[in-house]
Amino acid sequence: MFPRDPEKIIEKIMTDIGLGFTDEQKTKLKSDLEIILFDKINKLIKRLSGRDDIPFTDFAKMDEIAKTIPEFERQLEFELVSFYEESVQTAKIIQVYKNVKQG
Amino acid sequence: MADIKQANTESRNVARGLDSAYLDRDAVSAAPREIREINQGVLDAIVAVLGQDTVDEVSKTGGEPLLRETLATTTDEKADAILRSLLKPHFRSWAGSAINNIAAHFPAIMRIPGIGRISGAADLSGYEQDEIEEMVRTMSLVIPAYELEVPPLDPALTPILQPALKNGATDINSHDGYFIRKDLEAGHEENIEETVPGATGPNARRIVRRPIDNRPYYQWAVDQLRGGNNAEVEALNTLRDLAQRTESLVRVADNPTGKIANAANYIATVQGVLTTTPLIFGNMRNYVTTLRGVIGGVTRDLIATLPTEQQKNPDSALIDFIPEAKEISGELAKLLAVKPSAPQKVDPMNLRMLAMARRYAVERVGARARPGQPVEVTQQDRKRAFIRVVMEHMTVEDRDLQEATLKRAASIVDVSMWTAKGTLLDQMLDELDARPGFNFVKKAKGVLRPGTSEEQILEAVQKGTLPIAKLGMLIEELRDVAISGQHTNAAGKKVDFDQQTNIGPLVLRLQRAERVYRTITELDKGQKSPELPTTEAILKHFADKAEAAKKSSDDALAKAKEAAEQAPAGGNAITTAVKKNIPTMVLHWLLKRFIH
Repeated sequence: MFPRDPEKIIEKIMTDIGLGFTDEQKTKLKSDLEIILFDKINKLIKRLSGRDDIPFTDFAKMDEIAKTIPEFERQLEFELVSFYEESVQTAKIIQVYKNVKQG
Repeated sequence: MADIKQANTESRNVARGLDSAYLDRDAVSAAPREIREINQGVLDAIVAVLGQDTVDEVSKTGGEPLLRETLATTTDEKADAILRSLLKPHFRSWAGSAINNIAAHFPAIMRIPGIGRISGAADLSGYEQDEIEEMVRTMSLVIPAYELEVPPLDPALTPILQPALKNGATDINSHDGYFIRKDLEAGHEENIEETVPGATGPNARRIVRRPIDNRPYYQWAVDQLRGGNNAEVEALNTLRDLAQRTESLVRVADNPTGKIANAANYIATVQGVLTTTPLIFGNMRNYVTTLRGVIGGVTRDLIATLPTEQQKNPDSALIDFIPEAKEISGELAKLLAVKPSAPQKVDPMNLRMLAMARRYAVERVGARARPGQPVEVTQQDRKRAFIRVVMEHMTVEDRDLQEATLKRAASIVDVSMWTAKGTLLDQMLDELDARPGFNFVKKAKGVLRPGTSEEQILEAVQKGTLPIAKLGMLIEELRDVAISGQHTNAAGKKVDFDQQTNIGPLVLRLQRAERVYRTITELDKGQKSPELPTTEAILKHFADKAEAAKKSSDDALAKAKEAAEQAPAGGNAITTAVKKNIPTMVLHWLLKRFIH
């Protein structure tokens, strides 16, 4: 079951990358992933609404604008899934690099 | 074979996703993005095309099998609408493979002309939005690619086209030449998209069949390839003067009006030549024959009006007419001796692109054009022509692929297309291999195909087939080729690359892999241990991305902080957001607002 919850997606990414993170590393990675994903969502709302004046922090305004975009929910789902794939794919590339390095 | 096996597995997954999509959206949420997107796209398209009521009714009465049957028998127009919906920008990266799968469920889609080109392109992410739209538009308009009967070339056109073609008769009979023959066949018709007056929404556009005369466009293309030739320009100017003199001659003969029964026909014939736009040097013999025919005819008719004894020796009786008629006729005959300059030789595809670009320019200017207004062929016209020609010719070249796709429409990617031997891409890679530092290319040729997936690239890197250290220079070379359309051959000379082969997506994938490697290599330089600390590398990678995301929003954040500082105690949403962990809060908000 693919999660629709953004937080769960981040957790799934961390699990599926399959590396042994320490608790400290997990917290840091989670925070970074949140920022990346949030940036994507902020950009998505800007793109769909055609507006460039939506601050990174003003989610009340984002909410207000997102409500007026019929496509938003669907597009958001797409962003979430592609974010997952992108993240895992990057990790795979890194894994390949590691294998090459180790010969 | 592994690819085919994987494709079959994935396509079964897709099929399962599609099956359940109609009945239970939640059931497919575990599927990969592609399947989910197909489901969503197909559902939206179905509703948009058939209407929600129909979909609800069918679902209620017959369930998924009946719905599928309904879709399988949709008209071409509806299939076209479904396809348009599916090729929205965010579907691009999987559009090619998706179409193959979708076609398994909606056979009408495969009836859309030109579909083979899209379904062969596993990744459209290398294309711009307007190019994608052009492809969709073109697919609806082009000649069905499976009509492979070869129409004969009109013999009258052969002398016009042959001098411009590289290998003469051979080329015009090739697959590429097929389209030229088709363009120029008598009574040629094409599908044209037009606006329906008063209609809105999906019904606002319709596709109709219309006759198209492509001959002037090809003639223009050949003339362009011939370049400037003063003798030709002068000959056409002289022809215009002589045509006007011929018209005056007819009027002199027909004085008083009605003296010659056929005068009106003669004048109409001459004016037909005079109003031809443009007058084309290649048609000089026709013009001359027509005008000399008029002069001969009017002379005979005029002589017939003389008394019988004067008819035997008309020169003295028609002193104002005969010398002028002879002079015009003689001048016209001289025009046939003017030699045209040889056009630059091109292959059929390029000749066709040029002709189509001209046609698009003429159609674009269309009714707005003033008589005699020059029509400029813009970059956009060339782009449209390029896309159309590449799509059509590619489809024919990959006829086998198209047939295979139809027979086995459930497979995601048919790899045969990308492993075809003897293409210019192969030749280019062989030549590249011969250059210093590139001797790995021949070995890596198997993965240097337009349809190579990122997984395949990674596998090749892992096996050492694609050396990491060489990726940068390889990308640089391929990128240049993709952009310039030329590559450097073994002799160090720039030559045209195979324009039918789009290596853009391949370069994009190589770039992506290389960029990550480069980042990690930089990171690796600071490591004492020979083993790369992968966990750290991943953290560093995401931290860099997060940093970039933060940076892009710095201004907004600064403003928000400023607002927060100025806000009254107790705070508003901005104050709260800034004080707490912003992204986490927003994710919770999203969760509450949209997901549950």
